[in-house]
Amino acid sequence: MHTGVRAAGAALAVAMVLSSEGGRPLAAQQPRATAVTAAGTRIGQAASRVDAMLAAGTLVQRSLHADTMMPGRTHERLAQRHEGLPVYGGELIRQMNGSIVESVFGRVFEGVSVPTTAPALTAGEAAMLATSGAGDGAVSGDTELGIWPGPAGFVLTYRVPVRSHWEVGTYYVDASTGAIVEHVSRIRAQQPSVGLGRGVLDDDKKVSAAESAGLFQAVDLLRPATGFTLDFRGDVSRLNAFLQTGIAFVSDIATSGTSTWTDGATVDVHVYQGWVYDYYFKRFGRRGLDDTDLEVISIVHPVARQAAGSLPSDVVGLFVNNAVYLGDGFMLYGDGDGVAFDYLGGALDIVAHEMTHGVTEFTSGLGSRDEPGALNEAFSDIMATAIEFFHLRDGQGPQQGPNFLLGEDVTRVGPGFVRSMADPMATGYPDHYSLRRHIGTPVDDGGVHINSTIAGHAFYLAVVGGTNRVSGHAVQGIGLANMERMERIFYRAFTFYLGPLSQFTDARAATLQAAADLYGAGSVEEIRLRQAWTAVGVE
Amino acid sequence: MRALLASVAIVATIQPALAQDGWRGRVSVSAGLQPDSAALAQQTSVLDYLEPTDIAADLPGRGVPFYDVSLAVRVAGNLGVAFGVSGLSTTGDAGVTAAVPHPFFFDRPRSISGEAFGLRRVETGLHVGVAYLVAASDRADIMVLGGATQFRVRQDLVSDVTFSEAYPYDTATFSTAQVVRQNASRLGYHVGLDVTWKLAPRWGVGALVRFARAKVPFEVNGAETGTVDAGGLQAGGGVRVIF
Repeated sequence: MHTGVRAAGAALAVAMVLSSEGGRPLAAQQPRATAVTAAGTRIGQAASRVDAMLAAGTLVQRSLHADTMMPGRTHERLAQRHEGLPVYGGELIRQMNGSIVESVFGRVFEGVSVPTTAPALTAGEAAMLATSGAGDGAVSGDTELGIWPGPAGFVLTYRVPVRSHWEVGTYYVDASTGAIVEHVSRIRAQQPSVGLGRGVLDDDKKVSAAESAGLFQAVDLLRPATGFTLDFRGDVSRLNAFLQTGIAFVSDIATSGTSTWTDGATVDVHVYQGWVYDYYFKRFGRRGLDDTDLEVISIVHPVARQAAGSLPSDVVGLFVNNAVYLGDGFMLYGDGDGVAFDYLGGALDIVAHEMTHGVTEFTSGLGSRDEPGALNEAFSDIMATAIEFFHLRDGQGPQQGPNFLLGEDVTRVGPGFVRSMADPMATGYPDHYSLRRHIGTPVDDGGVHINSTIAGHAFYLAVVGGTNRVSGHAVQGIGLANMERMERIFYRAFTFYLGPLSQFTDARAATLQAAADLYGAGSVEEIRLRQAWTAVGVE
Repeated sequence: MRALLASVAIVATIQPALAQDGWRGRVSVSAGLQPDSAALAQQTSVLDYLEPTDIAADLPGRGVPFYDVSLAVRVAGNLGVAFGVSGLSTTGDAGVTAAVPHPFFFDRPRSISGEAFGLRRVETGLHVGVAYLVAASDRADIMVLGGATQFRVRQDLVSDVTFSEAYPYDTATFSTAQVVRQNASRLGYHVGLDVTWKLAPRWGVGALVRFARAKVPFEVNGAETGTVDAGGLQAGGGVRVIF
């Protein structure tokens, strides 16, 4: 499913980002493009024509793709040529079922003719003219000689991609006269827009969105990794279709008619996923989940809160009162039933927790069961807490400051949070390795969430200090002011040193190695961290 | 200013040494320097990323040449009415600073600074007042001036800034200042002395010392942005035609 999901994400991005150069209607006096569209019983003539053009070299195959939705079928894109030169915009798309032509779509130009196909200018001269025309431009790709269907007829031109100050465009330079006959901007039609959003807890935030023709979409164009927030509007059938196919559509993207965003779940998820990217970038220089600016795509309202009462408890547990990392940069945030939980995306640490699963996916690959799974969850909790401290100061945020609790912003039932790294027993979770439980059982996938607090508590003790309840070991933390150092240690250990099968003892060794790497063997950081692991019983 | 007022007071106490029967009026054409002009401390704000970008522009003061053409006409005795027009034009560069909001976060402004080049001010004063002529000697007389001045100021003002920024947007770099040209008028006052040294019965040379002032407020982006202190101390000289 992950592959399909990522493919869907890529298709979405392409559809959103690229503008079409060939989609402009042609004026009456222009060279006319004739439709070659046929399917079913009328396919014969069109298929024959395509074959004839291919044989004559006036069509060449530009691409061939297997149909991922209908096995056995392929789709060819056939580009028009005139005496071996591309005729810009002329293209047919032929669908094949084995050797049988199923359909032909597209348009080609009739009567293509130019006085000569021998250019008077060289490609270099054309490139120079184009870059001069752009002011301070530079060629950003291959300069190509071809036939441009202009308003007064076909013109032999060079097509020159140029990047310049404020512009990314394509210039068409008359290969005979050197005149720039056409300039097409390739800048995406959407413009970044910073809007005002009110979150789940009625706090105002800046929403980085995309604006096009007065419609605002939850697409963050301001960060290197484009962030999408999809709104399934509580449509269970849409959720199921997505889970089965992994295909997301542009129509899924959360929208707003104005630059003021009022859906709290959309606002918080969209804003927080950007904040998480910011943290990893600023703290560690990491570029997104995969470190190569993978798009992040969050889904809100997968199931309507109102429907929670009529759904099986496992569905509610997974898609209503939960947040999930789906893999490949996809996250899903439940609405919460309004009793136990508010909208899950309303908590920065929950969004950070899920996205950190993405970091783990692309680094250590820690498993999802037993001790590796517990370390996976622990790393997400630790980074989530670090991100909360990074973005919030005392008096800021819904809880008036950061803390070592998880999910406290949206938990509506006692004790008011999901987990505590300071006092794991507050939710009945172990604060010492000797208390780990459910390993090797189906319960919580081997206690991944439950036992995660052992490592989370070690992080807390290493930072804040304290005495472990079970072991009685006292740890003098490095102090909140130095928490960044412990974040670096854990990040380094969990992303560089751990692997899919790592155990708690491996985590201890890895973090101590990272501490020695970063701050030196025998450093305060290493000593305090060693004390912390010992205090929680991990040797 | 204080010295000038004192001078005016002293001159006003001098009794006319000679009845000015032959005086009907005079035309004065002067040029000179208006020290410490052109200064303007301006503040404005525009909205960026949902928050105000606070912009300050500081145009330093300096001496600016001015011209003056005046006509004084005797009404009775030594007393007359005076009309005059003075003006100056100057161009200067302003230091510009701005606090630009962050695109992602509230209350995290980024400081930028640069210059706005070639800000122009054109200042015209229309002076109407009384003139009191005092003969200092056979060849010299002093005209004491005072009255109202209508100032009209055309001023280039910084209205916005452009800046460049890149992810993570924690800093920004000043690019340019956007400038608008505004006109404003204000009624002020003037006091002054015009000393004439007769070189011939109908003409001579003279020196003008005058202080004129009006505070001219300007608006940019729908709010007051700063006040131009139009006028100031003017000192110059020129020719005098006596009739």
